[in-house]
Amino acid sequence: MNTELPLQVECRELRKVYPDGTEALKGISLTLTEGLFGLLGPNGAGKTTLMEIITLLLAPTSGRLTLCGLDARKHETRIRSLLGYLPQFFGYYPELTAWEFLTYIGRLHNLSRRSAQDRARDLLRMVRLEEVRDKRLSTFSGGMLRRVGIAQALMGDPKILIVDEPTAGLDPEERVHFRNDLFELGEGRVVILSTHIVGDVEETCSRVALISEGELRYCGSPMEFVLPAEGRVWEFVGGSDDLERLMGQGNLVQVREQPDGLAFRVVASDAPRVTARPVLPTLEDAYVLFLGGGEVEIEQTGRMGQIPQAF
Amino acid sequence: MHRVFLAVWRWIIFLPINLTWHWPKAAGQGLARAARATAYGIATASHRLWKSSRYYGALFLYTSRRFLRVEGYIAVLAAILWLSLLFVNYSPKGGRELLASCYLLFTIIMILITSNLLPRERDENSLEILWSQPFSRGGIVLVQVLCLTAWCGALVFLIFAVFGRFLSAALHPVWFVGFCLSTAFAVALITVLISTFCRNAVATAIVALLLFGIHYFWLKEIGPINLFFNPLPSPVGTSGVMGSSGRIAVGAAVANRLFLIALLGFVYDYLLRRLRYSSVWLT
Repeated sequence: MNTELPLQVECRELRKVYPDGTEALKGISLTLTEGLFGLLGPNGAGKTTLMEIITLLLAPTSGRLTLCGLDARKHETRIRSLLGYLPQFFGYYPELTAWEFLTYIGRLHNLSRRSAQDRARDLLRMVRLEEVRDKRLSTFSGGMLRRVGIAQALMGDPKILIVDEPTAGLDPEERVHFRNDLFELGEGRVVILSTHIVGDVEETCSRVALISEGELRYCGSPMEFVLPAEGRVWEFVGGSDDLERLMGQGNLVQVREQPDGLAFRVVASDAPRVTARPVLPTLEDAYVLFLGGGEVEIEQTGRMGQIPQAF
Repeated sequence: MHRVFLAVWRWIIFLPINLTWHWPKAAGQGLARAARATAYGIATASHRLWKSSRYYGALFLYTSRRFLRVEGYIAVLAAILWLSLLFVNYSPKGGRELLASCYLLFTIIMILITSNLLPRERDENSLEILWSQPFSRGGIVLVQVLCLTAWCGALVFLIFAVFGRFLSAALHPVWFVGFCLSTAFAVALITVLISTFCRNAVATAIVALLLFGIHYFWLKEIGPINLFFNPLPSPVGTSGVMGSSGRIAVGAAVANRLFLIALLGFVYDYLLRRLRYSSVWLT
């Protein structure tokens, strides 16, 4: 029955005002279809609020939400059966083993005991936890717990999978594994990946949205997102005084140590130094360009390089 | 599950009120329509309950495992110790005090267990996972409370098995267990509602103990409007065992349980509103 439903999440003018008066979302409208969708934004931008509204944990103050063609206000239980959710802070039950936890979640999805066990077995194999399935969750590392989290989100074979900050706190190897897993999951379902780690979105997502201060600032392909940053990303080698100067400006993308000093990567409309060379922009550069949006002090001339408002 | 509960509440409490109110103008027609609607409501609710029995069953078993591991053992131990003391102190006066003390004991146990029901899930961030599953929040809470009440019921049976001889002459075991369980369920549901305001298990327990303490000690004498209503008459003589001459206040007992059902309906209805519209406190 679920296969007949369109793979689509549609938000129309979603607003959320908390009781203390904070306006977390200011009328967000977007449409998501099959594949991986990256939701970017700084901390406090409203990503988690949007995720919680889409997972029906929070009710919006106003606006309309449709998932797989079903109105969220009228078909809550049906929609929940189509959703898989891995929250930012994944709450696990420490006294259960991975196997017990997944079969329990399977039973909550109204699967029979046999079906829940079969599904748990497949998912544990998929997330490479088959060998430790009988160990208690309290003994698992952060990466293993995230994998259990993704497995529980997939127990009901969801059409819409929502993962909120999934790679936070993972080591690089785990992050790569996790990104690959997510990429595979994008087939035949809508996967919404909310994060402030731009690299995760860059590696996996075919579409990206940027939220800042509760407003949708961009929605489209990562390629187009990067375009405004072309010709505005610079690399140069400098000293610790450059580091002090650039740190407070919000336009420093990267700094790394080299034998001849510190290598800086900054976003600016003009070259911050004579020796600075332009480089090809990445999604992270475009993200910093958007979020910085201010000025970079240019050392040699003393001019203030204006960063154009790209969005 | 909660639909069955709501159906019972609506059709047992509101149907008689409704019929009484509208009786002069639409007696026959209203009664037939109400009967059809009742039958349909109960059939639909039962069908949904049957369809969702798997996850309610899983939730029931899991709640048993999660919440009765330590607290349960302590509760059983405390109950046995407490009732042993009561047995020594009160047995010469008959079973009435024993029954009244049972209420107090179960109230404390239910408060201690249920005050941590939602706060614990919330503190461990597991509430988000639980509430993103395809069934209602009201159903989840109700099944958890019913689960704990059922275990409390097991405790009642245990106690009755040991001390029942002091009561059996005056009150049938089913009545005894029914009274204790319905009170335990009410206490549990009210405590869960309090926990949605308090954000903390300790604060919930203190507020609930205070509230039920006031109710138990100050409102004991107001007859049917008493959560801890004791249907047994005052002991006759001091023989130690409730004499058969004591008469059970049946009318007052029925009125009291109807009051309890109505109260539970309001509490549950308000709890559903809290869970649905005030979900900010969850995260």
